[in-house]
Amino acid sequence: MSSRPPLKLLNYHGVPIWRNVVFIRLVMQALAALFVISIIWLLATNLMNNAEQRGLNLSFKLLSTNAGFDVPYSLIPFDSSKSILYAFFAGVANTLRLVGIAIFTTTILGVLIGLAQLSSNFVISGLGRVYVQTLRNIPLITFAFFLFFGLLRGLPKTSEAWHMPGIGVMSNRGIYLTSVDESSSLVLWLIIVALGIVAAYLLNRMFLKNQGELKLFGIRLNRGFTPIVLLLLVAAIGWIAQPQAPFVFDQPELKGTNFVGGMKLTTEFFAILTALTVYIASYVAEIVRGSVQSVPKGQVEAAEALGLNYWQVTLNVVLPQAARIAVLPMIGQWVNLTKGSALAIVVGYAEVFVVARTAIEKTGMALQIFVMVIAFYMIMGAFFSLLGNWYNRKVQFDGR
Amino acid sequence: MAVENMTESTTTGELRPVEEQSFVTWAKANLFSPWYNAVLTVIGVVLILFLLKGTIPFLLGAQWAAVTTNIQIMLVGQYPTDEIWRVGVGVAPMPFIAGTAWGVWGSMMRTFSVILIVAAVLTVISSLFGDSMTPGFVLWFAVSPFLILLGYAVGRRDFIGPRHVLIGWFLFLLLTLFFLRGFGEDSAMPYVPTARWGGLLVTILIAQVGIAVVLPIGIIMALARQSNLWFFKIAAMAYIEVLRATPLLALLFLMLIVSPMFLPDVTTPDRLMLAFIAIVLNNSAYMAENIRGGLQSVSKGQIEAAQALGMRGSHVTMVVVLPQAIRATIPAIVGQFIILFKDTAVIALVGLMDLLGAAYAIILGQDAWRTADPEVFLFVAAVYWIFTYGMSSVSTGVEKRMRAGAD
Repeated sequence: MSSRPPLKLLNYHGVPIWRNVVFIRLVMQALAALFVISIIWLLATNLMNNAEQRGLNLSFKLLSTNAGFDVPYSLIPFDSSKSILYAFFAGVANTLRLVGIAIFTTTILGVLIGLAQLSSNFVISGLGRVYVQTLRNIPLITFAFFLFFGLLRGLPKTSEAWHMPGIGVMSNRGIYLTSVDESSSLVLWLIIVALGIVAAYLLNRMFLKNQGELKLFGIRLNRGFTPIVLLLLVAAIGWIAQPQAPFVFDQPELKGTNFVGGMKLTTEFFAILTALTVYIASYVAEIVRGSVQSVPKGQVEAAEALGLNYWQVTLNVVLPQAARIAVLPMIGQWVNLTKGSALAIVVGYAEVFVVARTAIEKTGMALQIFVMVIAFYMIMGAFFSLLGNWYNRKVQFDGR
Repeated sequence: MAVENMTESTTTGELRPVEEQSFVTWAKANLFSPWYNAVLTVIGVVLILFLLKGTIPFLLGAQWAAVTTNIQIMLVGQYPTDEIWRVGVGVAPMPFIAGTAWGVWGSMMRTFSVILIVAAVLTVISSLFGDSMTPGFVLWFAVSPFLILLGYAVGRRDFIGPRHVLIGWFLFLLLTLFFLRGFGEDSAMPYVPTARWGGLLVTILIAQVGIAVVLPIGIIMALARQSNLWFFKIAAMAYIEVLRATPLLALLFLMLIVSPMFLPDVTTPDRLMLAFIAIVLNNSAYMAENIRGGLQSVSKGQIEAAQALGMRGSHVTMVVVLPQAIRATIPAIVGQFIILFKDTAVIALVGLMDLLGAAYAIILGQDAWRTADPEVFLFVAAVYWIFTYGMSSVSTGVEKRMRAGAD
């Protein structure tokens, strides 16, 4: 004896079927799915037809055939007899090299300019603001063209190369940086430095035991500086006392028509690295400025009221809170940097996209190679978002 | 009013006037007070002098002729010279619409319009110093400030609202496109293929049509991603995540090289259209994420209240959730529009003649201008800068107004 009306096929619980929410949802999704699937089916049929007519092979197995082209610069050894897939990974390695170095340089430059913008010194803050406003309002690629053409024409011949004392030389054959090589005495020096670290640590323990008060020959020692000075002193003695310095600085020298020694950066690599660094640093600078300014003023005032000095407030109160806000957008800029590295196609630095372009021109396997390229960038994006999530979980306040 | 010039005395709590500062005391306090500040000032000044030393001789000796003789290519590309009047007439509604927007939205749009007026006036003035610019262009730039002012006067009228401006903008945009494209061979306005469109014209057209298309797609994708219908959710998620991860440049090549493989053999798709689609795909994915943030910021109580009033599901979304979500994300939306505008420059890399592509073609294509790359690219950068700066001033205006509303 149910109070519900009897079940009928098109009349569930008395609700006519065209007003049944469950049914409507099902139909809507089915229609949408049908629509999407039919479009995909149409495109796939076109692809099959076109492939048959033009004799294209759509198999991914082709990627293991001989490349037959060269990758101009490669971190991992490569020659044209290796497979296309191998060439692709040579490109991946080059991209990772570029992105890895560029993240480092961009973040440093960006943080410096962001802090410059915040400076109370108006010459410095003005310079920072002009930098950011100029670059942020033009497209990256316009800036890159400007820079690439300028470098291409502006870099001198090797005989008139620009010498930057201690840093390296610049010429149109490439940029040669002074490289730092290890020498035979490096191991011993590292052991001495390790001992210095232990000594500094023990000194710090002594400070803690004596509640920060230690005296040597009647002079009160500074709790913050003394362990560091001790460490530096030990390291310096270890450096000087040995007959051979632990590091050898290899200066590039002009031999014949080219430079020998040092670390060579190709002009292409230097150009794309500079373009990405200088441009994206303007975005990083804005993130730094915004995040520092978003720390509530009350925090600074409270810290000052507790008697902390300027540097203590900055290092212990402002920066940790600003960093928490800044890191996620910063990682977003690293993603932008990764994607911007595809611009290397303008100068021809052999990163993954350039290799892909060459491979497509030489082999015509556009579809397979593009699938690989997109997969690579998606993996990079997923890596950065995992990094961001991990950081976010680490710094999140409890109970928020 | 006067309080700004007063400072509160810490001991008595009374207001007293700020003491007049001499330049020397000001400089001492701001530029040289701790010793490292003095060092920074010196470094900064040296840097400025270094920059001036590099730029001033260049600016004095610059061959601006590279820009002025090629101004037609930079502005309209290879659009047939006989038909250029169509560009002038077709694009004329744009300053007018910008003016009405200024009239309707007020201070938010003011900087943008003023920048456009100043740029037009400067163009006209600079054309007086050389005779390389076609009189038609000079006339257009001379008239456009008046069109902006006319639009402002119209926009100030009470019966013109935001809705009229938006609809008018959209209709005029369609009209412009048809006007530029033309009709048959024998008609008064013969057909001009998009391959001959170029320069700033293409940059601005792609940006505007892109803006008009990206927002609706972004809203639809954001709603689909938030919906509890699994098919829509998964489809939107795939769309957003794949397109966001792919660099625009890769998407552009994908569109131009791979997409014809998926189309019937008989069709030869328009290259400009394909590039446009790539830009729209990429930006709409970002737009969807921006709007999703806004959707999530609408409090659940709003939705429950609307449901309690007996509103249908679609009604709740369209009337209650979406307007609030969009209002909350306006700064992000305008930011995305700016990115889209800058993104249009990428199409130069696939050989299309937008503003940057035209510059590239001038430098590589003509021996006389092979060494004029700094001048040409500086000009191009300046044009991009003017528009982007104008747009970001709109964005700051919006944020200011929103903050004022929140207080």
